[in-house]
Amino acid sequence: MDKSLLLMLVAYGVLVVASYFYAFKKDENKAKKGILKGWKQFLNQIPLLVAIFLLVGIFDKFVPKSIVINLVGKGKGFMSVLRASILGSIIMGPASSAYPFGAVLLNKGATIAATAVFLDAWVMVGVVTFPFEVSVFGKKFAVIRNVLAFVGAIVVGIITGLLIAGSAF
Amino acid sequence: MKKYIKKHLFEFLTFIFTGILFVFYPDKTLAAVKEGAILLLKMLPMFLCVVFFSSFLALFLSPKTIQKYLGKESGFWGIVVAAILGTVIVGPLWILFPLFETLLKKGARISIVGAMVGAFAIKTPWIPYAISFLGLKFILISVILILGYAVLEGLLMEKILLKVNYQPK
Repeated sequence: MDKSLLLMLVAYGVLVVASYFYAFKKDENKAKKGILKGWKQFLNQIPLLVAIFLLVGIFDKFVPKSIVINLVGKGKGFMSVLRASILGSIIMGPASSAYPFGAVLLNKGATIAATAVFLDAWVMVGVVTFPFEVSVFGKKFAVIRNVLAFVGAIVVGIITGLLIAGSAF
Repeated sequence: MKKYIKKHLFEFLTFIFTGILFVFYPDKTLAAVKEGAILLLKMLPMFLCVVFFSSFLALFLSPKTIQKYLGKESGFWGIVVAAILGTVIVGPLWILFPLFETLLKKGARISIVGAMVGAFAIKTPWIPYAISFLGLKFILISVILILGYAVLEGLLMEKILLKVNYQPK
């Protein structure tokens, strides 16, 4: 494993242990509940996680690089970013699955901007949950929020690409 | 059993899909499964940290606690604070819609709620996990840009929604 990655993992582990030290001191029952809740969530998400990583592996071995480059690769202009944002808006799922997909896209030749747009749209724009959002907030709120989130994903992604890769498309 | 399948339909479909792939391309599929499994095992410790830290935050920094912090602070910095607080809340966005609606009904500024929702693309407990896939630079820049955009999104939403006479349902 990458050394910096290992270091980060250790640091994160220490943070988690420290936060539970604090929790047990403050409210033992609540802390126990927290551990139980975390464990349950872990068990709950394991099947999904297995499926997601399976798909990531399949995507990596079966989808040729040329397809990814053609759709969201370098030199494909604004359309590459637009495609990434539409794809990200339609897909829904927890962040745990978004990041490995982002990484495999990058490896396959997607631009930084397209990857960032894809990830941001994945979390922020909800096509599938849109009807629910309307039922809670009303149409005006839901439409404006999703439009702004869609635009935001594109803007943030393009700037990320400019800052890291020096170009967005 | 039926209920279980329904709950994990996506996973079952993925496994069936993998099985079919294996029949036609045994070598490639095996390589894909192996890659997915290695990736999953590598990520598991990090994932454990995420679930336990998330459940800690959920219990000791619930959205209701956050609501308290928001108080009457509703100037520009109140919006910035709201955006930062939005990053600490974990879980899928749509689960929190009813809570945000309550906030609006209680008289919170639209910009505050908008910024919180906007910042939701950043999930603090997930940041180390995300870095392990996409690198420090990529995630750091994304986080800063998304936070900035969340504040802007809140302000824009408020402007537009007040113009179209939006009322919380």
